[in-house]
Amino acid sequence: MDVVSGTQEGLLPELCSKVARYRHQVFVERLGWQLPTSDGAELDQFDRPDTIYVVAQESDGRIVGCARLLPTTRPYLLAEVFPQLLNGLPLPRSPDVWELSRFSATDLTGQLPTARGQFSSPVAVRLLQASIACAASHGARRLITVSPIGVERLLQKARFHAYRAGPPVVVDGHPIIACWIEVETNYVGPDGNR
Amino acid sequence: MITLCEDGYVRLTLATLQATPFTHLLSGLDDDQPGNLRQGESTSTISGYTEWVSSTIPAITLGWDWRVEALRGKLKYRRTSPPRGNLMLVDSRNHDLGSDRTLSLLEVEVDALNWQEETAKAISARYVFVTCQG
Repeated sequence: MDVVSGTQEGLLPELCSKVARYRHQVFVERLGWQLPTSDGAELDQFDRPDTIYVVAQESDGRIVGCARLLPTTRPYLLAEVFPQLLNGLPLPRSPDVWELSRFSATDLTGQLPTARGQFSSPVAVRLLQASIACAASHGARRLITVSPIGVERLLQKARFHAYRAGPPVVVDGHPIIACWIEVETNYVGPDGNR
Repeated sequence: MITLCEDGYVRLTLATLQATPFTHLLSGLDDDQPGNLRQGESTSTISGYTEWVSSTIPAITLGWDWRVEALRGKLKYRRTSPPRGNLMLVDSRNHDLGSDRTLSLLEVEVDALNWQEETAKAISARYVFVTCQG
Protein backbone atom coordinates (compact mmCIF):
# COMPACT_ATOMS: atom_id res chain seq x y z
CA MET A 1 0.00 0.00 0.00
CA ASP A 2 1.21 3.50 -0.82
CA VAL A 3 0.17 6.78 0.70
CA VAL A 4 0.44 9.90 -1.45
CA SER A 5 -0.54 13.47 -0.79
CA GLY A 6 -0.99 16.66 -2.72
CA THR A 7 -3.42 19.19 -4.09
CA GLN A 8 -5.65 18.46 -7.06
CA GLU A 9 -2.97 20.01 -9.23
CA GLY A 10 -0.25 17.87 -7.73
CA LEU A 11 -2.09 14.55 -7.95
CA LEU A 12 -2.96 12.70 -11.10
CA PRO A 13 -6.44 13.65 -12.41
CA GLU A 14 -7.44 9.99 -12.47
CA LEU A 15 -6.51 9.64 -8.80
CA CYS A 16 -8.55 12.71 -7.88
CA SER A 17 -11.58 11.25 -9.64
CA LYS A 18 -11.10 7.94 -7.87
CA VAL A 19 -10.94 9.69 -4.50
CA ALA A 20 -14.18 11.60 -5.19
CA ARG A 21 -15.93 8.35 -6.15
CA TYR A 22 -14.42 6.56 -3.14
CA ARG A 23 -15.74 9.29 -0.85
CA HIS A 24 -19.18 8.92 -2.41
CA GLN A 25 -19.16 5.18 -1.87
CA VAL A 26 -18.02 5.45 1.73
CA PHE A 27 -19.72 8.54 3.11
CA VAL A 28 -22.88 8.76 1.01
CA GLU A 29 -23.73 5.23 -0.05
CA ARG A 30 -22.54 3.20 2.90
CA LEU A 31 -22.59 5.59 5.86
CA GLY A 32 -25.64 7.54 4.69
CA TRP A 33 -24.29 11.06 5.12
CA GLN A 34 -26.33 13.82 3.44
CA LEU A 35 -23.66 15.43 1.27
CA PRO A 36 -23.60 17.21 -2.09
CA THR A 37 -22.90 14.75 -4.88
CA SER A 38 -22.62 14.70 -8.64
CA ASP A 39 -22.41 11.67 -10.92
CA GLY A 40 -21.24 9.32 -8.19
CA ALA A 41 -18.62 11.75 -6.84
CA GLU A 42 -18.63 13.46 -3.46
CA LEU A 43 -17.15 16.97 -3.45
CA ASP A 44 -18.12 20.07 -1.51
CA GLN A 45 -17.14 23.73 -1.25
CA PHE A 46 -14.02 22.83 0.71
CA ASP A 47 -12.55 20.84 -2.18
CA ARG A 48 -10.60 23.73 -3.60
CA PRO A 49 -7.31 24.16 -5.47
CA ASP A 50 -5.46 24.62 -2.15
CA THR A 51 -7.06 21.58 -0.47
CA ILE A 52 -4.57 18.83 0.28
CA TYR A 53 -5.57 15.18 -0.04
CA VAL A 54 -3.87 12.24 1.59
CA VAL A 55 -4.67 9.01 -0.23
CA ALA A 56 -3.94 5.38 0.58
CA GLN A 57 -3.83 3.21 -2.51
CA GLU A 58 -3.14 -0.46 -3.08
CA SER A 59 -0.74 -1.64 -5.78
CA ASP A 60 -3.67 -2.48 -8.04
CA GLY A 61 -4.83 1.14 -7.92
CA ARG A 62 -7.68 0.57 -5.48
CA ILE A 63 -8.25 3.44 -3.03
CA VAL A 64 -8.37 2.13 0.55
CA GLY A 65 -8.28 5.40 2.46
CA CYS A 66 -8.41 9.14 2.18
CA ALA A 67 -8.21 12.29 4.26
CA ARG A 68 -8.55 15.97 3.53
CA LEU A 69 -6.42 18.77 4.96
CA LEU A 70 -7.35 22.45 4.94
CA PRO A 71 -5.56 25.47 6.39
CA THR A 72 -7.63 27.38 8.94
CA THR A 73 -6.55 30.67 7.34
CA ARG A 74 -9.21 30.10 4.69
CA PRO A 75 -12.80 28.75 4.97
CA TYR A 76 -12.91 25.27 6.45
CA LEU A 77 -15.63 22.80 7.44
CA LEU A 78 -15.57 23.31 11.20
CA ALA A 79 -15.68 27.12 10.91
CA GLU A 80 -18.38 27.31 8.25
CA VAL A 81 -20.64 24.41 9.19
CA PHE A 82 -19.89 23.08 12.70
CA PRO A 83 -18.54 25.91 14.89
CA GLN A 84 -20.62 24.58 17.80
CA LEU A 85 -18.19 21.68 18.07
CA LEU A 86 -15.61 24.05 19.57
CA ASN A 87 -17.54 24.53 22.82
CA GLY A 88 -17.43 28.33 22.59
CA LEU A 89 -13.73 28.64 21.76
CA PRO A 90 -12.98 31.25 19.06
CA LEU A 91 -12.45 29.61 15.69
CA PRO A 92 -8.78 28.98 14.98
CA ARG A 93 -7.46 31.09 12.12
CA SER A 94 -3.76 30.36 12.09
CA PRO A 95 -1.19 29.02 9.64
CA ASP A 96 -0.08 26.50 12.28
CA VAL A 97 -3.57 24.99 12.74
CA TRP A 98 -4.91 22.74 9.98
CA GLU A 99 -8.22 20.89 9.73
CA LEU A 100 -8.44 17.16 9.04
CA SER A 101 -11.73 15.92 7.63
CA ARG A 102 -13.28 13.29 5.31
CA PHE A 103 -11.10 10.66 6.99
CA SER A 104 -11.79 7.08 5.99
CA ALA A 105 -9.76 3.88 5.83
CA THR A 106 -12.21 1.47 4.26
CA ASP A 107 -11.38 -1.22 1.76
CA LEU A 108 -14.49 -1.26 -0.41
CA THR A 109 -13.85 -4.80 -1.56
CA GLY A 110 -14.22 -6.02 2.01
CA GLN A 111 -17.18 -6.04 4.37
CA LEU A 112 -19.55 -3.15 4.45
CA PRO A 113 -17.72 -0.44 6.38
CA THR A 114 -19.04 0.29 9.80
CA ALA A 115 -18.39 3.51 11.61
CA ARG A 116 -16.07 1.63 13.95
CA GLY A 117 -14.54 -0.77 11.44
CA GLN A 118 -13.21 1.91 9.15
CA PHE A 119 -11.25 3.48 11.98
CA SER A 120 -9.61 0.46 13.55
CA SER A 121 -7.30 -0.94 10.87
CA PRO A 122 -3.53 -0.56 10.41
CA VAL A 123 -4.37 1.37 7.24
CA ALA A 124 -6.25 3.89 9.36
CA VAL A 125 -3.26 4.36 11.64
CA ARG A 126 -0.86 4.73 8.74
CA LEU A 127 -3.19 7.16 6.98
CA LEU A 128 -3.48 9.23 10.12
CA GLN A 129 0.29 9.27 10.59
CA ALA A 130 0.72 10.36 6.97
CA SER A 131 -1.90 13.08 7.40
CA ILE A 132 -0.13 14.46 10.46
CA ALA A 133 3.23 14.37 8.69
CA CYS A 134 1.76 16.06 5.61
CA ALA A 135 0.17 18.80 7.71
CA ALA A 136 3.46 19.26 9.56
CA SER A 137 5.29 19.73 6.27
CA HIS A 138 2.94 22.64 5.58
CA GLY A 139 3.63 24.31 8.90
CA ALA A 140 0.92 22.77 11.06
CA ARG A 141 1.62 22.47 14.78
CA ARG A 142 -1.92 21.35 15.63
CA LEU A 143 -4.71 19.66 13.75
CA ILE A 144 -8.41 19.98 14.45
CA THR A 145 -10.49 17.09 13.18
CA VAL A 146 -14.19 17.05 12.38
CA SER A 147 -15.14 13.42 12.40
CA PRO A 148 -17.44 10.72 13.67
CA ILE A 149 -16.75 9.55 17.20
CA GLY A 150 -14.96 6.56 15.68
CA VAL A 151 -11.96 8.70 14.70
CA GLU A 152 -11.48 9.78 18.31
CA ARG A 153 -11.67 6.13 19.35
CA LEU A 154 -8.99 5.32 16.75
CA LEU A 155 -6.81 8.10 18.09
CA GLN A 156 -7.16 6.72 21.57
CA LYS A 157 -6.60 3.06 20.67
CA ALA A 158 -3.58 3.92 18.53
CA ARG A 159 -2.20 6.04 21.40
CA PHE A 160 -2.14 9.34 19.58
CA HIS A 161 -2.07 12.34 21.88
CA ALA A 162 -5.42 13.95 21.13
CA TYR A 163 -8.33 15.38 23.05
CA ARG A 164 -11.81 16.47 22.13
CA ALA A 165 -12.76 20.12 21.68
CA GLY A 166 -16.31 19.81 22.97
CA PRO A 167 -19.38 17.57 23.29
CA PRO A 168 -20.44 15.54 20.25
CA VAL A 169 -23.28 16.81 18.11
CA VAL A 170 -25.66 14.54 16.23
CA VAL A 171 -25.83 15.31 12.50
CA ASP A 172 -28.11 13.22 10.26
CA GLY A 173 -28.24 10.62 13.02
CA HIS A 174 -24.47 10.40 13.43
CA PRO A 175 -22.60 11.86 16.41
CA ILE A 176 -19.65 13.93 15.24
CA ILE A 177 -16.94 15.53 17.26
CA ALA A 178 -13.98 17.87 16.90
CA CYS A 179 -10.63 16.73 18.28
CA TRP A 180 -7.33 18.47 18.73
CA ILE A 181 -4.21 16.61 17.64
CA GLU A 182 -0.81 17.96 18.63
CA VAL A 183 1.59 17.48 15.74
CA GLU A 184 4.84 17.46 17.72
CA THR A 185 3.84 14.63 20.06
CA ASN A 186 2.26 12.58 17.27
CA TYR A 187 4.61 13.10 14.35
CA VAL A 188 6.07 9.86 13.00
CA GLY A 189 9.25 10.27 11.02
CA PRO A 190 10.36 8.22 8.05
CA ASP A 191 12.07 5.80 10.45
CA GLY A 192 8.69 5.09 12.05
CA ASN A 193 9.55 6.69 15.37
CA ARG A 194 7.60 9.45 17.12
CA MET B 1 -13.82 27.70 38.64
CA ILE B 2 -14.10 26.14 35.19
CA THR B 3 -12.07 27.79 32.45
CA LEU B 4 -11.97 27.19 28.70
CA CYS B 5 -8.39 27.84 27.64
CA GLU B 6 -6.87 28.78 24.31
CA ASP B 7 -5.59 25.25 23.73
CA GLY B 8 -9.14 23.91 23.94
CA TYR B 9 -8.80 22.27 27.33
CA VAL B 10 -11.35 23.03 30.01
CA ARG B 11 -9.33 23.44 33.20
CA LEU B 12 -10.68 22.79 36.67
CA THR B 13 -9.64 21.21 39.95
CA LEU B 14 -10.61 17.70 40.95
CA ALA B 15 -12.85 19.12 43.67
CA THR B 16 -14.75 21.19 41.12
CA LEU B 17 -15.10 18.17 38.86
CA GLN B 18 -16.45 16.09 41.73
CA ALA B 19 -19.02 18.79 42.45
CA THR B 20 -20.16 18.96 38.82
CA PRO B 21 -23.16 16.85 37.85
CA PHE B 22 -23.08 15.02 34.53
CA THR B 23 -26.05 13.94 32.46
CA HIS B 24 -26.31 11.31 29.80
CA LEU B 25 -26.04 12.73 26.26
CA LEU B 26 -26.16 9.70 24.01
CA SER B 27 -25.13 6.09 23.77
CA GLY B 28 -24.73 3.78 20.85
CA LEU B 29 -23.83 0.27 19.86
CA ASP B 30 -20.74 -0.47 17.87
CA ASP B 31 -21.99 -0.65 14.30
CA ASP B 32 -20.66 -4.11 13.76
CA GLN B 33 -22.89 -5.47 16.49
CA PRO B 34 -26.33 -6.64 15.36
CA GLY B 35 -29.11 -4.48 16.69
CA ASN B 36 -31.62 -7.10 15.70
CA LEU B 37 -31.00 -10.75 16.41
CA ARG B 38 -32.94 -12.99 14.12
CA GLN B 39 -34.07 -16.42 15.21
CA GLY B 40 -31.18 -18.75 15.71
CA GLU B 41 -28.61 -15.99 15.77
CA SER B 42 -26.62 -14.98 18.80
CA THR B 43 -23.85 -12.60 19.57
CA SER B 44 -21.11 -13.17 22.07
CA THR B 45 -20.25 -9.49 22.55
CA ILE B 46 -22.38 -6.41 22.80
CA SER B 47 -20.29 -3.25 22.97
CA GLY B 48 -20.63 0.43 22.34
CA TYR B 49 -19.95 3.90 23.60
CA THR B 50 -21.61 6.38 25.89
CA GLU B 51 -21.38 10.15 26.11
CA TRP B 52 -21.99 12.37 29.13
CA VAL B 53 -21.94 16.14 29.49
CA SER B 54 -22.07 18.81 32.18
CA SER B 55 -24.50 21.72 32.11
CA THR B 56 -21.69 24.16 32.81
CA ILE B 57 -20.46 26.79 30.40
CA PRO B 58 -18.02 25.80 29.04
CA ALA B 59 -19.35 22.27 28.84
CA ILE B 60 -17.28 19.34 30.08
CA THR B 61 -17.67 16.29 27.88
CA LEU B 62 -16.77 12.71 28.75
CA GLY B 63 -17.15 9.57 26.70
CA TRP B 64 -15.99 5.99 26.99
CA ASP B 65 -16.46 2.55 25.55
CA TRP B 66 -18.29 -0.26 27.29
CA ARG B 67 -19.13 -3.91 26.91
CA VAL B 68 -22.03 -5.94 28.28
CA GLU B 69 -20.96 -8.87 30.40
CA ALA B 70 -23.03 -11.60 32.00
CA LEU B 71 -22.38 -11.89 35.72
CA ARG B 72 -24.30 -14.34 37.87
CA GLY B 73 -27.15 -14.36 35.45
CA LYS B 74 -27.35 -10.59 35.17
CA LEU B 75 -26.15 -8.33 32.39
CA LYS B 76 -23.66 -5.72 33.49
CA TYR B 77 -22.21 -2.79 31.58
CA ARG B 78 -18.46 -2.55 32.06
CA ARG B 79 -16.23 0.33 30.96
CA THR B 80 -13.61 -0.92 28.50
CA SER B 81 -11.69 2.21 27.55
CA PRO B 82 -10.20 5.15 29.38
CA PRO B 83 -12.52 8.16 29.38
CA ARG B 84 -12.19 10.60 26.50
CA GLY B 85 -12.77 14.21 27.31
CA ASN B 86 -11.90 17.85 26.95
CA LEU B 87 -10.54 18.54 30.40
CA MET B 88 -7.24 19.02 32.12
CA LEU B 89 -7.26 18.86 35.90
CA VAL B 90 -5.22 21.42 37.78
CA ASP B 91 -3.95 21.69 41.34
CA SER B 92 -4.75 24.44 43.81
CA ARG B 93 -2.08 26.65 42.20
CA ASN B 94 -3.67 26.17 38.78
CA HIS B 95 -0.82 24.00 37.51
CA ASP B 96 -1.74 21.19 35.12
CA LEU B 97 -1.74 17.73 36.67
CA GLY B 98 -0.89 16.42 33.20
CA SER B 99 -2.71 14.09 30.82
CA ASP B 100 -1.79 10.84 32.55
CA ARG B 101 -2.73 11.96 36.05
CA THR B 102 -5.90 13.60 34.78
CA LEU B 103 -6.86 10.37 33.06
CA SER B 104 -6.25 8.28 36.17
CA LEU B 105 -8.42 10.56 38.24
CA LEU B 106 -11.12 10.66 35.56
CA GLU B 107 -11.31 6.88 35.57
CA VAL B 108 -12.08 6.92 39.28
CA GLU B 109 -14.75 9.59 38.83
CA VAL B 110 -16.39 7.86 35.87
CA ASP B 111 -16.47 4.54 37.70
CA ALA B 112 -18.19 6.26 40.64
CA LEU B 113 -20.86 7.63 38.32
CA ASN B 114 -24.01 5.52 38.11
CA TRP B 115 -23.82 5.45 34.32
CA GLN B 116 -24.72 1.84 33.61
CA GLU B 117 -28.46 2.13 34.20
CA GLU B 118 -28.84 5.28 32.14
CA THR B 119 -26.77 3.82 29.31
CA ALA B 120 -28.76 0.59 29.33
CA LYS B 121 -32.02 2.56 29.12
CA ALA B 122 -30.70 4.61 26.22
CA ILE B 123 -29.56 1.53 24.33
CA SER B 124 -32.87 -0.24 24.91
CA ALA B 125 -34.78 2.82 23.72
CA ARG B 126 -32.63 3.24 20.63
CA TYR B 127 -32.33 -0.34 19.46
CA VAL B 128 -34.75 -3.25 19.20
CA PHE B 129 -33.50 -6.56 20.41
CA VAL B 130 -35.28 -9.70 19.33
CA THR B 131 -34.15 -12.50 21.58
CA CYS B 132 -34.54 -16.14 20.99
CA GLN B 133 -34.82 -18.56 23.84
CA GLY B 134 -33.42 -21.89 22.94
